[in-house]
Amino acid sequence: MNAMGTISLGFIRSPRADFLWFVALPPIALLIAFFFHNTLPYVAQASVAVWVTAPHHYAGWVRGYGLDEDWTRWKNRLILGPIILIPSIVLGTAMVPVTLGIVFLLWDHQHSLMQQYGFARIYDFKAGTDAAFTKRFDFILSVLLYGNMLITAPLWAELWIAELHRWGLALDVEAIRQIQAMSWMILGAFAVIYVGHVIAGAVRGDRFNPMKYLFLLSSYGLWYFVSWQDSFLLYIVAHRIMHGVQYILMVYWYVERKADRTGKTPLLLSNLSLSRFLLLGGAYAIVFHLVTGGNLSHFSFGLINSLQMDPILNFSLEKATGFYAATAVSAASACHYYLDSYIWKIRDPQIQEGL
Amino acid sequence: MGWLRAQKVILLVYIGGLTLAAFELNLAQFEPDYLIKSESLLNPETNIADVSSELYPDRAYSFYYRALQASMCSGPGREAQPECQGRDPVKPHEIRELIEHSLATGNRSNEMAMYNYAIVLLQENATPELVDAAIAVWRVNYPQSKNLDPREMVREARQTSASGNRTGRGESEHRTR
Repeated sequence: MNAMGTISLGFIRSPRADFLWFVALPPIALLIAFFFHNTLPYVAQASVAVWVTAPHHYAGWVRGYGLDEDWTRWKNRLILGPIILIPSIVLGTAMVPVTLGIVFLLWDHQHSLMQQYGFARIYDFKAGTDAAFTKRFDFILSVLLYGNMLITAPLWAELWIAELHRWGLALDVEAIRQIQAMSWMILGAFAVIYVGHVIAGAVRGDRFNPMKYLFLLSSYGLWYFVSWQDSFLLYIVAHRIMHGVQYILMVYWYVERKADRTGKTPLLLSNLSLSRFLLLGGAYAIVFHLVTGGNLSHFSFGLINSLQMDPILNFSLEKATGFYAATAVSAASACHYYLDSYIWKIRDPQIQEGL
Repeated sequence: MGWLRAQKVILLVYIGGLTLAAFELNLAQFEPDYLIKSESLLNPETNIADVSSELYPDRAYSFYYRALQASMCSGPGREAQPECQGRDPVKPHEIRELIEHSLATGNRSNEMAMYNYAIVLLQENATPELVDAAIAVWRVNYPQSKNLDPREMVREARQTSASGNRTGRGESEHRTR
């Protein structure tokens, strides 16, 4: 922490690492996304899911299931979460796919906004700038910024306008424009209140961490920019890189810091029990099998074949494979969203040890 | 109270999801294809094509919705349909031009815009080179697509239409997913 008057600089890792991964990464991710947009086929966006999104799920598993401390602390949730979520995903995929799509889109947005809000909270924690009401003000700012983007940006407005038609709640153009204008007004009004809160804090002698604001500016700059482009691919690639890379690094640093400060976790993987190590080995085997073009039936315990044989479902091989893949992808995301909703509470002293 | 607070995210997800699921299981408009049906595209009071075009006239989906609208009101007997009355008559090549505008935005997230472009080219008897190029663009971007080859789709539609005409029934050639 480096204090200068009302400014108190605090970094998640170090000045250089923070500027690279939390301030420069979003524009770099945008450049990569434009490369995808201009030169690669649409299907290439799936590779970002494979190489960034899947590993960021894995990082979450390592923290949640790999550390003895987290395992002991949240054992019930870590066991019950997948037991409840996975059958729900299976049922949802089979019976209510539109609902599942909407729920996932909304949960993904909530998850994304909460990750950046969480990093902002870490910046305040690290700089000792967590003044009274700052947490609440930052949360409202995040929700309004993100919500306004969903309401007013064409990329997202196209989606909810279409869904309203499906629900028989279609709005005319004038009503949509009024809602969007109202959203901007609410955001603008709160921005004034927020600035007033910061100025009042400075007058009281509260300090603030400019890194937090640089980080938020960079993150929301990426989201707002891509949401006004006419390309879903740009959003998918840029967002997944920012979200996934920052998360993977955060987990790595967290585990490392925990090891340094508590001595309980010497290295990322060395404290894993045999059973968890075997589970990771199984996951590696699945990934290796898929990457090398192996047939899904070989490790699905006959699930795909049984779907084909089922007299009611009567799936083709293609449909069974698609069903299996869609279920697996959705289930992994659901478990990840749920896990993250409780393992990153910055107010928690045990978590602060890893920050 | 503490338990509820700790579980608020998952509870909200399930309450919201179950509510939506109840709608999806009971309302016809939750069919995946609902948004490209005539109720959504040609409703004279408000429809997604007109709303999108007015709000975002230069975006890919606005052009594509208008192409779907035009395809629903073009062809023998279609202009006389109640939902097409009061709309400007579809001009020659209008559907093709609208899809070309949609693709020219660079947005490639709509597989059916690429697919239907190839279909429209086939229907307009475009040169084989143009058709092959359009199909190649679709295939490169969506290599795992389960849709029939557009040439086969048009061939099948023409056969169905011919047999329909023999039995006095007209069939649609346009695939407007």
